[in-house]
Amino acid sequence: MSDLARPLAEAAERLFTQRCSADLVNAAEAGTWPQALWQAVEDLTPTGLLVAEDRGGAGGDWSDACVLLECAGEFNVPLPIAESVLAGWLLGRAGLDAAGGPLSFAWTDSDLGPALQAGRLSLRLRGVPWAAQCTALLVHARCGKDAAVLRLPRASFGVASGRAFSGEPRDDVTLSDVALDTAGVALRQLGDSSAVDGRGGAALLRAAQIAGACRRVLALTLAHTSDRTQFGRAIGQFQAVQHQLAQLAEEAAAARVAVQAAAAACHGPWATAAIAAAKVRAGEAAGLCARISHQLHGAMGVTYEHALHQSTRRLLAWRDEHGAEAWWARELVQAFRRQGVQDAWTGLTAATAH
Amino acid sequence: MLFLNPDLKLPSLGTAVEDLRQRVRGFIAEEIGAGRFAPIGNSWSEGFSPEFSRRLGAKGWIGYHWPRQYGGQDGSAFDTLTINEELLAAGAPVGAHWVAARQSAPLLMRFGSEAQRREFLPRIAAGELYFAIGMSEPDVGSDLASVRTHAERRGNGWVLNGRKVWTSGAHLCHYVIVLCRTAPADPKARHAGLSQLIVDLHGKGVTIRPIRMLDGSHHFNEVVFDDVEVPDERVVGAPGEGWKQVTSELAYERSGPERFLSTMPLVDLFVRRLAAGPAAAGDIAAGRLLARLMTLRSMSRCVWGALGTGQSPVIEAAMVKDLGTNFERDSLEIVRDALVADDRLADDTEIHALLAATAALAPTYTLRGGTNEVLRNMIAKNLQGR
Repeated sequence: MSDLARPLAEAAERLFTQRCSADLVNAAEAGTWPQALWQAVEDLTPTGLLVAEDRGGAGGDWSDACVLLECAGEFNVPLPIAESVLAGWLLGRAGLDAAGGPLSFAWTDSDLGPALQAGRLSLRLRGVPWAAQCTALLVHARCGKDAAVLRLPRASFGVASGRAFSGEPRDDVTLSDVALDTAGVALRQLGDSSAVDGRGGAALLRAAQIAGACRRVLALTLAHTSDRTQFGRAIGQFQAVQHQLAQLAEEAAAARVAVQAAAAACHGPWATAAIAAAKVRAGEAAGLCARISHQLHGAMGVTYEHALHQSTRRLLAWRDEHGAEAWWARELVQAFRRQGVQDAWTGLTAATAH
Repeated sequence: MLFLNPDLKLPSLGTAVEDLRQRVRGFIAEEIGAGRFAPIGNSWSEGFSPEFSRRLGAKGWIGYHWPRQYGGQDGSAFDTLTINEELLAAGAPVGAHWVAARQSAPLLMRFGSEAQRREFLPRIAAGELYFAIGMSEPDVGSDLASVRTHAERRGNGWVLNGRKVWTSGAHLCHYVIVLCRTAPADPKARHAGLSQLIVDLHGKGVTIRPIRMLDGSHHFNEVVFDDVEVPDERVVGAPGEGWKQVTSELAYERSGPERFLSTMPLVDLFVRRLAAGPAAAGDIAAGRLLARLMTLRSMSRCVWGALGTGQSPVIEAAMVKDLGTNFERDSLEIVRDALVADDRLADDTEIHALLAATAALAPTYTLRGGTNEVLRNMIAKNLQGR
């Protein structure tokens, strides 16, 4: 965590407390792009957060990015902040100009080497966040064995709009035989070596959003169980309820610690293992926090009127994005194999050295 | 709460402990290689080996962070954590000295007299002096403040009468630290009038009877005190301050890595077998176990770091213990399933044997050191600001 983290978290929390109301989130889910809020978010320069200072960025690290996304997740901010951070990270690594936002981000396992040779590209990407609203889409891909970055201005691709259970736009993107020399399009192989790949970076920031949303449902549930009275007392006075509150807090804590531990491991050889652990653990917390918070909110919590659903729908959708728990669990063991570790304990201690 | 604090800093062990870690690993490999111990689950509770404890003591690896004048090595708290987690993960028999090093010694360091520190700590560090915990009684479990064992003033000391139960290892230890009433119970101040006495388990008036475990093993005891004379110099801290002291002792009892590593030898063997081959269906179960373990290790280290800087992260320790002991219980079930799911493990006798041995006393994991229900009560109370 750099010196940026604290002022960034404070500025983001102030902004979202003032400007990101439950009504604004509902309106965004109904299709209204919150332009004024986006302009305010741009002052936090999400696209420059993971760009080195000598390239004009803020020089932040993954811990800083996670702090920002925890905050965005806590407030259900209906904007592509994670995507803009990730897109900026790719632009910085590729030495490409930072375009004005909002930016979107996707990753693909497809080999774009042949397209680079041919100078023309066809590609389909599913579930791309805010593809219709962004000014450009940055794709983490590969050309042969090298990581590569594809920059696509909004005009270069077709969009079939969709919306996930989270209420956030998740669009299908189609490129049909687009010339790589089209204005604004760029496909660059990355010369640098990053311990974090596109999917990993995206999974880590989703996990950070989950950690933030867990914190929010804990706060909502504590408030509800102290306000709601039955049998002559606040339901939070019942031990059966208290035990679930404790478990809710434990899960929120575990998600946050897993995320911060992974962010701290992002520059070393154990980055993938640590990110895998964070997405698995945050995903488990997401499921339990959604379940417990709904159980303790009773019927009120399943109405549109109550804000709880804004967080719980996101928790349940985010845990599946960029790899669900089972996907990353498998990847975690594979990461141990790739590091040549034979036993659990050696890998475990190395991957959580912080 | 520490974990949700925006300024959460995950303590790094740094590179300084790496050399020590490698030396401990080397020692463990040597011990196993020479057949001096075989890894077992729950080794801090079931692995009682005075010989092993003395060998550790000779290396200086018990109480490594204590001051030299008390038998320590002036190391950091993280050095000790490193030694302990390596021993636990390897399933080494650390049970003889465990309680003495984990909580009796820190208690004496903090509240004991200089004479007590000089008398007991160096021998605990040497791995030759063992302590039992005298808290629970036949009618006193989670509600610890209602203990009935009592001591009366006589001359320059106290006369102790009462009964303690579930006293792990009392038949093998030298001393027990007894929580008892030294003033009549006051319903308005339940926590007043309690004291802690150091009692010689081989002394006059002390009777130790085994309470067999469900698998027939001898671990628990009933310890009866019948007019046991305890001199003033064996009172820990000031008479009447027992509750404050015992609460601080519980922070040490609850926060350590033994609260999520009791099944580590089994988990380790399971992952070792899987990782030796190509990707397989069992990877998902193994990966989920690892993700929980990695997170527990990070959380536990936060608590340990806070303890080391003089904070009292009682709630955070309770959270880690609840999550950690539930993980231990779950890990047995997950490995059990995986043995069926993966053909390569179906006939693995070593894993099956370790699973069976580790599972026998699994019901104790979520009871000892305070039941998980009591921990959740504490956590909820804290969350609600009560």
